[in-house]
Amino acid sequence: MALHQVQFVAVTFDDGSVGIMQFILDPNLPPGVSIPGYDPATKLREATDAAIQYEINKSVWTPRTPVSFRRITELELAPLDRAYRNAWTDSGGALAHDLPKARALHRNKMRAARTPLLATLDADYLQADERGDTTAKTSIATQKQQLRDVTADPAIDAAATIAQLKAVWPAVLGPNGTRVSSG
Amino acid sequence: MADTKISALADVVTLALGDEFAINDVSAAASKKCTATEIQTLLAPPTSDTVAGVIEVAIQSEQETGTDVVRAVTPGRQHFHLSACKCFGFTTGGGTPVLHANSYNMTSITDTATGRLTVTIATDFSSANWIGVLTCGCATNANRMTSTVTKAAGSVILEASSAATTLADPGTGWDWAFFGDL
Repeated sequence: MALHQVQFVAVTFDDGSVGIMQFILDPNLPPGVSIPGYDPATKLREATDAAIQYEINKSVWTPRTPVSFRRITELELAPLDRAYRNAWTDSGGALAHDLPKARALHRNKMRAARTPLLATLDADYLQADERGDTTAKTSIATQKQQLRDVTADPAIDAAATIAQLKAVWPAVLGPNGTRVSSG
Repeated sequence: MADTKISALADVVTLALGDEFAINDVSAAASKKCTATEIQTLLAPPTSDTVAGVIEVAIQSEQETGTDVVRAVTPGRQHFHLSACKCFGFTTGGGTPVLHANSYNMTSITDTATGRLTVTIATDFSSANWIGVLTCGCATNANRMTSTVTKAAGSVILEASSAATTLADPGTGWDWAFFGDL
């Protein structure tokens, strides 16, 4: 499958987040289109500063506002972890992860993972209660407390890299997936 | 008209529809005259559903109105009809989208967050009152709900959500097609 020729552009927003624009260099356009940088004869478009700024100005970003942009290569995206997409930032001329945001995303992921586990344990607790099985109830209560405590693990705040952060995943939560919610 | 050899006549500068020609009416075995209009009507009559002939090309406004049945649509103007797709595109990849060349009237896409994509159009709609048809490819048991957000004449934000109504990346890519008045 053929791909468009694109210029990757990192667009930084007022909240510190970054958008990754694919500025199309070989667009398929209707006849008579006139946009900055586009040559109808060659049907190619040049990613000039003016053309990129025009593209940014006409695009919708609500509720954020773009504050700057820079051209990047696709290779610059390689080190970024998609699971922490909403923590991506462009600082110092390099794409990176905003670790405080990444930690918040990681905690959300833990919460999402523990919600069904807590529901199951709640049901187990009720059954143990019906049986009068105090040993089981104590065990279940301990497991539930372990789940409640996972987001308070000091290793989360101590993590200095995404790899270290991802490693903070207590066994009580089960396997660590790769997706992090936007919350 | 004087009885003159044709070779002795001057060339006509511009043939007018009212100009006359001498003809031999075979059925009547007589010399007669006719006008350029009559010859045009004979050789290339106005076309209709039952007559082959000359047809006028529809202009943009006629294509947009969409009611004319005696003018022809040309490739460069067919997209002005209200029913024609004005913009489409698709990506693959469950994470950072990969934009395929099989797109139309697109100038950029921007991945701005998990489950969120800004799409920007080359030729804008006449207003923000256009229709977006949107879906995304999903892995088994990982369906997504999709929506358009902050629709403008020349750009729109696409969003995909998981069943938990949390923004989530498409499983295998985005697909969109937009309709409306340019």
